[in-house]
Amino acid sequence: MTGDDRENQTAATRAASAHAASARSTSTDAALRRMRAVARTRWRLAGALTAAMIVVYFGFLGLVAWAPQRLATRVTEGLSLGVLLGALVIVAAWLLTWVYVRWANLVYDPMVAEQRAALVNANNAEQTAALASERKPGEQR
Amino acid sequence: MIAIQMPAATSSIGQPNAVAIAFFALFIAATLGITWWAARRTRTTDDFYAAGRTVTAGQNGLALAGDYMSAASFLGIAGLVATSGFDGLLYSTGWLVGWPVVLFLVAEPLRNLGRYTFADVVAARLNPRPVRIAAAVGTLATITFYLIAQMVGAGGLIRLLLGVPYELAVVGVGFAMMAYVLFGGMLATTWVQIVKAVLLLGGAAMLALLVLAQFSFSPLALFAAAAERYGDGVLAPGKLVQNPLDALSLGLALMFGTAGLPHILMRFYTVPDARAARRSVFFATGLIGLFYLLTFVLGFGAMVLVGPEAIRAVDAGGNMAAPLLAELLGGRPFLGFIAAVAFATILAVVAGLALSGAAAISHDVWASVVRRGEPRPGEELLVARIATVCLALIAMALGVVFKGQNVAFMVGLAFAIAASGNFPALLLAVFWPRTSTTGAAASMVVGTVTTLALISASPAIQVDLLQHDSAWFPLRNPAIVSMPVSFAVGMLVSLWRPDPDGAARFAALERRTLLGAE
Repeated sequence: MTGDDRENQTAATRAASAHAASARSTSTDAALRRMRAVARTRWRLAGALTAAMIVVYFGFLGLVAWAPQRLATRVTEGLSLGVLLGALVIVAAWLLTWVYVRWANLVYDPMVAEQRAALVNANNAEQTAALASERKPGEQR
Repeated sequence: MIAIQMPAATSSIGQPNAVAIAFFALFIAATLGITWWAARRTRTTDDFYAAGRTVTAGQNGLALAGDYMSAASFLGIAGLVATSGFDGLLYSTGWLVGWPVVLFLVAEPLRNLGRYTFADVVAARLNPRPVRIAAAVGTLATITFYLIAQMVGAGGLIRLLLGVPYELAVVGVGFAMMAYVLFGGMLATTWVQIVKAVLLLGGAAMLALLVLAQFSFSPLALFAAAAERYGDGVLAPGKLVQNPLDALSLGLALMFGTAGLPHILMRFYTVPDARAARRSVFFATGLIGLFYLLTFVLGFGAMVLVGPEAIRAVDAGGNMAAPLLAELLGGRPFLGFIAAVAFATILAVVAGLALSGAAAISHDVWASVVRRGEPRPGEELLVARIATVCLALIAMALGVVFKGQNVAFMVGLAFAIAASGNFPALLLAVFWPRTSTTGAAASMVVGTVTTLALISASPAIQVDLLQHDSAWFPLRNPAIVSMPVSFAVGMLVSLWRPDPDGAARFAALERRTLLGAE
């Protein structure tokens, strides 16, 4: 965390509170790492679902462009494969959004809440450590 | 799609219709009432741009649907299906698949990182001034094409439906939109969208039920009747897709353009948090998908019951398919209702566009660039209102100048600009740690300029408009070239000109993306 590093360096009591600083960077770093992991999890799922939508839609467009006669095939009386697949593209869009919203409500939101709590805890611990180092700088060294 | 001709005498379309005028008057009165109510609640910039962030997820879902379902979708797709069958359905699907992308990639980061415009998000971790100027270019280019399309559509449709002269219709729409945005801000605009979405979905559902009632409530019986009368070809791909690359390019613009439309992105700031933003896209996707499924029934219903020849006789572009169907099944009163719904549809879309254009000028350019983020009290709001008046006047003028242009084509171009100018920079800014200020600004400017250049070199301009023999760029929609170019430029320039403290800023941004503004 370059931002944290610079903050540490500009701190006037750097040498005196070396111990406290290392305590800060470990707890905050751990919280930030976990947060980054949560963000990565969301991007991974979002990317996978986007890819699924691209495959479904461009698959459909590809059939339209390069295999139009296949889409003319009848599934039942009155229903061609093309019309059916067109409707299914819409249904697929619904399903994918439903999957994402369900995952976000059940998994992602609790993870974020946990991270927020962890970060508050880390900040509290940091403040306690900073207070301790201010009170007894000699002992810390 | 919307190329208007004089109506034939067989239908009452084009003659003043008492019911239509009554519904128009009722809609205008109701929306102006909403505007008056909203005006008393619109004091701060937060109120004006974001309705005080008090809109619920359900309301915003309806408003997103209202912002998105334009007259081009309602009248245009129904007409395209009625006259060419399956090919029209390509638009139905294409205009929906952008919504999951909005949900997965931009809705939540947008809500957590920005305040009023999508440029807020791109500027969140970069140097704001160059990025905001570039974003304003992309926003205004998108908005202008979209506004022209809607104004041209409005003038033509109102003339056809009501018998009002084209220019008068354009000016009327311009003034109504100015009133909503000027006095009621985002709150009035949101409620106009909601009223319109309910009217449009209700009207389309009623019409679809009346159609299905003729076929013992079986869509398959309807499709079978269409195939029996007009040949099996109407249920399979036809002439519309002649050039596969062109189809893929249009598909790309439709899919990723939605995630770059400034007036849609702006709606995510009206809800209280990211969770509500997410739920509102879920509702919007459901409603818009339902609407596009209804267009299957409306289109084939008009084909079988009214007939393609009768529809083309009234309007060569086929845009009057849904109104003709309404007249056939519900008489002149129902035609009046559907006409009023089409009018409401245009007004609402135009109001949303004007508001986002005004925000780009007042928030991105004036407050953030000219005043360096510290506008005088009340000044930003004043500039936003002046910008609204200017945009409305420009839209009216362009609406008159571009009379007779093809509406769906221009909307497709607006999507291409959004997909190439706005979307790549937005995605890179929230997703890629190495994105730099110069890179994001370059991506937006090059994306927008490339799109505009390729449009002017395309057959639509060179052959159709300027009557040249050939065009050096073969595709009608440039997204398949301009979008990758925009991504490549954004990434290469970012690597070439990195921001000095880019990594730290991205870490802070990641934290805000996750936890929201603190």
